[in-house]
Amino acid sequence: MNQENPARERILRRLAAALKTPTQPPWTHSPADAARPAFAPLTDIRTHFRDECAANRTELIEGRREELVRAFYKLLMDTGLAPGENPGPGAPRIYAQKPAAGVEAIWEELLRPWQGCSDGPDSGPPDDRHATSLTLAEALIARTGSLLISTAQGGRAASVLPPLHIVYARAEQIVAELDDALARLQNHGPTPARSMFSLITGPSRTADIEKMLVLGAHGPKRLVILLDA
Amino acid sequence: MNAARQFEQDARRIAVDVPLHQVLKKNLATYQHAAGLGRERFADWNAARAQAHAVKAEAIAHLDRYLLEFERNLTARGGRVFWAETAAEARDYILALARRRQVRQVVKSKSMVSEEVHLTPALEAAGIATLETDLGEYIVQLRNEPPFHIVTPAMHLRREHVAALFHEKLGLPESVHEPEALVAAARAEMRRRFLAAEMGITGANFLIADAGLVAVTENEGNARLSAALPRIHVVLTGIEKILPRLRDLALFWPLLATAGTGQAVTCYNSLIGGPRQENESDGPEEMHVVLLDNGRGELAADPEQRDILHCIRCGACLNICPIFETVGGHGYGTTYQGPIGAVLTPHLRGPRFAHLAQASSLCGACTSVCPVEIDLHPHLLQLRRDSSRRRPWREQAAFRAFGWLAGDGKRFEKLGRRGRRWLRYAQSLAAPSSRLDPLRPWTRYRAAPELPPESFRDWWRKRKNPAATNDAGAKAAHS
Repeated sequence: MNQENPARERILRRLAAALKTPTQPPWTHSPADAARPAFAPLTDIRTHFRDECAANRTELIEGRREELVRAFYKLLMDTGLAPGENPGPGAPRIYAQKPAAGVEAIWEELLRPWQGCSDGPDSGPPDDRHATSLTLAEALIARTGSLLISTAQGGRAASVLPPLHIVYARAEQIVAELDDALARLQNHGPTPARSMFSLITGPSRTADIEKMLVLGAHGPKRLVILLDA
Repeated sequence: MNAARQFEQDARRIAVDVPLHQVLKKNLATYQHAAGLGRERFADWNAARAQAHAVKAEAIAHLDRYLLEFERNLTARGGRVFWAETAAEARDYILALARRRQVRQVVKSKSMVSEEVHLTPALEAAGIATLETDLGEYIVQLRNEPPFHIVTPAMHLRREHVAALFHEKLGLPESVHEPEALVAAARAEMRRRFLAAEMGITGANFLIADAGLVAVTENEGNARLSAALPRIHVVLTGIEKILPRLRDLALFWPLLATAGTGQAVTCYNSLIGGPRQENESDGPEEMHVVLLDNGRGELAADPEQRDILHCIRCGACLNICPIFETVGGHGYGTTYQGPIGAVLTPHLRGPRFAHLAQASSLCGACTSVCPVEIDLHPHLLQLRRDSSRRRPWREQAAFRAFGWLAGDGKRFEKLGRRGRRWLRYAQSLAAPSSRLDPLRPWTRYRAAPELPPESFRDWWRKRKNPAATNDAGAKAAHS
């Protein structure tokens, strides 16, 4: 590899030589500032998560299991995904990731109306026909109202390709800080085994035209979290 | 035309472009409002800046070691790393890869480094259709112009401009002006291209050494699609983007978002560390990371200005800069605009861009907002010092002579007396700012100050010693 890429040694050699000379003291930096905490600790994690979701336009639905099942059914009805009504080859479809250990039961409850229908949920790699996706999350973050997902949650495209992304999560998955979620990724050593993770904070957006906020730029227009309380 | 002349000419034109300044002012005000609210989310914004400074200083101080750590951890997951010393090497590598893998369509998400190496024109010239997919980049690509701003590429445009452009290029009805409808049209057009592309190219905001991951910050989702759908994913970025630890992002993600747009964090912050793994259902077959030096190694060798490599490209220094507001992003004629562009470009592209250090009032606003505490305005001053050493010997001699004259009270007094006499004579020759006015280079844009009848020194002496009034007054009247 190094023979194919002679620049590698040259770049590294130049850096090693350059960095022997220490940096001159900065003009404006005051190291004492760094000792103070940058963020105030959160007092009520659950409330903070709720407020941040509202601020970033994540639709948070909290409730017991049967309430979440009803809410999920209503969401899909509103999206035009009534069971058995979209049998054609180009018709909109539902994507649902394969259930992980421990959530088989809730997965079955959520998707029961579509079981056996030709427009029932798919779990292979999603494509442009999928109008919605249902996935799990690695963790929820109270500080920013975000969710952290990995490729274990249906791969890379499932949570970004369909216009509606629905996440099922349990309340105990909420952690206070980004740092808690990142530390979790390194539980089994510093280099995580998965090839991709995304911190998701609200539905896709852009403000590139006159700084006006528009949702649904390339990714989901709607992000819904079903939070099992 | 040399770069300095070009700058002067463009700046003169853009500074009086009233419609541009209206839209720029509105966008910058929206940003400042959001960024102000964003900073309040921190208990102590300056503590966050100081912490970030310390992390970046450590990362850059051991850059060679951290890059090797990043490479080792990324290649363990099957990612490939290519080191490019120059822009041409980076371009050629990606071009050769695209050819070897029969790539015909490329989707690109925002990467200022790809602008730096002029990647898109090179791919297009090789017959590979290359689409910018960040909405702002897409708009400026359709207009065939460079990004106006490193974070907000279409900051200079109104919705009417975008509507007219989409009418012409996408066949949208002329009446469609609402941002929602314009975004929807662009989304549909680009989605088609995403599904067809064989290669996705993204930049990187951070390279995480201990985890072997590339961190990409965005709002739209186009970077995620670029890394998910095509069979090859290429990351093109600069060697200075290193952060030592994954957990450093708990500070840097909010810091970048706050300084960049005022958000708590941006909508999507992805971590990518290789192609699709065996237990994964989708993702590219190959992932390549191109690490670009292109002058950064030499900048690291400058212990005075090394901290320019701390930059996280948030754009805060552009947004607050009175010069940026006056000459706009296109006025600079560089990939990186504003104060960071003025200090970085001479290092990347040589002293012919040293004039950018003069494009500053040295007010220090840039330094005060920089989230990683780069000494921006001191560096502008250092660059001025360096370029003064490259001036013609006559000019250097003249300034040395001036230094000698002004360095002593008596000599300075004589200089002032002669100077006033000369100025009075020059002002008497023609009406201020008229074509015959010898002081026109000054008076053209400014009102000439009225010359006082006497110098401060004379006035002071008189005040202390009223007996000398007549004498000094008479002298001043003649000077």
